[in-house]
Amino acid sequence: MADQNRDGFTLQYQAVSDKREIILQVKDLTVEYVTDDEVAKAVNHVSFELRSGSTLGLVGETGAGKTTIAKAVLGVLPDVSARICGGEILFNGSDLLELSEMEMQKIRGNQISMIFQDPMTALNPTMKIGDQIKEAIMLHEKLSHAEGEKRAVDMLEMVGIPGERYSDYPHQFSGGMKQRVVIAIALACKPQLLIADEPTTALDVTIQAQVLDMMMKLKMELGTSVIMITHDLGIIAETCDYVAVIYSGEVVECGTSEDIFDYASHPYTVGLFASLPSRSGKGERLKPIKGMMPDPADLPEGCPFAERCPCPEKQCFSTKPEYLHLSDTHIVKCCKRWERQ
Amino acid sequence: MAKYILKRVLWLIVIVLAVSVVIFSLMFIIDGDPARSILSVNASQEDIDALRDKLGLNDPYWVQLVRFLKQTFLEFDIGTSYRTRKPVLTEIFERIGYTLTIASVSTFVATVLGIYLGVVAATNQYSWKDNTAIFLSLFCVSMPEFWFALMLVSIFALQLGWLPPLGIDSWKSYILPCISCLVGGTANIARQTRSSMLGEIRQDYITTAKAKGQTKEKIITRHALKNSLIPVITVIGSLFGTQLGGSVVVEQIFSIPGVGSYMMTAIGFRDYPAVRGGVLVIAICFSAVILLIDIVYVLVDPRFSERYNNQ
Repeated sequence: MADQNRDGFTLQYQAVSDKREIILQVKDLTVEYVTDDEVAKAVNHVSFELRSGSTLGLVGETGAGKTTIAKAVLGVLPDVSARICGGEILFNGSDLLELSEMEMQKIRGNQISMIFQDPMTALNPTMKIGDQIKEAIMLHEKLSHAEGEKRAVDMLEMVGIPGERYSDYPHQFSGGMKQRVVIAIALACKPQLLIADEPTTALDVTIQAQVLDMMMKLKMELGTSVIMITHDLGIIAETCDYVAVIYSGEVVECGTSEDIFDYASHPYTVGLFASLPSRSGKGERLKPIKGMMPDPADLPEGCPFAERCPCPEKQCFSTKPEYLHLSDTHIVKCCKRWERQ
Repeated sequence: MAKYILKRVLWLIVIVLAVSVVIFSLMFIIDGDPARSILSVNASQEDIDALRDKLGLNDPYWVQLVRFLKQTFLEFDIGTSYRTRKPVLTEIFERIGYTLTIASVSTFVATVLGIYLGVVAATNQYSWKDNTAIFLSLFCVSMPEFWFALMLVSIFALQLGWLPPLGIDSWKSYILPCISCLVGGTANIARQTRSSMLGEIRQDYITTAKAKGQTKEKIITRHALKNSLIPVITVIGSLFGTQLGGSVVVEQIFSIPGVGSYMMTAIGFRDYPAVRGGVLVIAICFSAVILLIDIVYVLVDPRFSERYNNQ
């Protein structure tokens, strides 16, 4: 079943049975952060696809490049330091990297929008929350101010905040409520693609479930496709159809949720699952993955995970691994010739 | 909020009282005799003593202080100038118009210009625009006001003859004094705007605005600017407050009959009521401006209203 793919990134891994059209296709995306004395390779030849109406999880530890990928798709990388060195981001067939800033402004918040990690800082502290939602609507739709206001009230109520709170300011809301406002802003123009960058990380556990449930309900209602960025495998299991495991700016394993959860093959993915606390092993120590992710400014020659791999081979330190197809939907980037057990 | 303002007004009374005591004591301590100034140099010692008695200057410190405070705060009478024999308040009100005009115009222009320059510098960080703005503002902050005023007079009034060098005849007479007053303020405001703007444009809510599809210009004007204004308002307020006291140097150089030059003359003459009255008016104006700033904070940043209410 294993079939090695030699050219690395032209991947046709998704289920043949999934007939939904591809809405977003990221091909060979490479992003660097340039500072005075070093170049950090944050995203290295990342490719993935997202089908309309589905949810793709990007999972990986902090600093793996997940947020950079998301910001690159939306075109909101900091223009001073970040540099997109190559690749294509095809959204509905057109390359977003080729579009002008003006054209991108029409897409942002309208067809693609994003929910940010920290609701505490994602809202403008001196602007009424209703106006912040209204702003997103007015930018993309020709409405009178009264209509825009009404739509903003509707959005507030849709995310479970009473419309009377339109004129309140962010500091009058709790973290969970703020995240609802952020979600309302993101969904205000019914986007085709929603990028959720760790939408629940900054919230406490009781609120996390509420916010996730709400997001998923709205996603179903609006038919939005979602990229869910998280380091929480539980959230992935609950919400995602497809999963891409990101390590050191690369997709190291990718497949349907079943592929990843039942047949995890890359030693990093295996390590991620092993490091979760288990319900049965009471009192056992957690099994962390030893070591640190390589410095993006100084990437190793071979496999970026070789240093931390429990079973590395000689070639792992010298040659970059290539993608290996384990099934129609499941690929892994590892030198070993894995078989799905 | 109303409670907060009331509290601040009560504080204002305390501050004005304290300022009165301090200025009275200072004038008491410093050398010089108003009676001698009033009577001219050739007056006999008897005449001087008689006048000192009449003015109550021979009484002990405490008696004089209490009399002054009672007069000022219970009878609301600041007194009559020794020099001109006119009520001090009338004299100050005759002059405060000039000072107010210069202070308002120069603060207004400095605000508009300073904020504009600061925003341009911040949004073009490390470009030539930014570097020029930084260099110019550093130069203007460091430059002594009197030197700049003299340069203006020598170039625009004396050499080119475009504008009058001194006095107040028409609106043209205000131009040079206003420019001398506003240069330092503009530079200060620009520097403050730049640094606080640089802090704001890195905030997450700016990325949120960008993700909505907002244009760069609107992100700056609608989002970043308002949030970066708090420290700038503080600078503007203290600039205006200082100038209300009359920019002494500028008023002297341009011979403007404002509050600043009135105070200068009064101090030289040991005209106690005029000095005290002037300082009191300035202290009240300054405190009022500071209170106004606190109120403006709430208009700009709603979080302040809650902070005030919790106090």
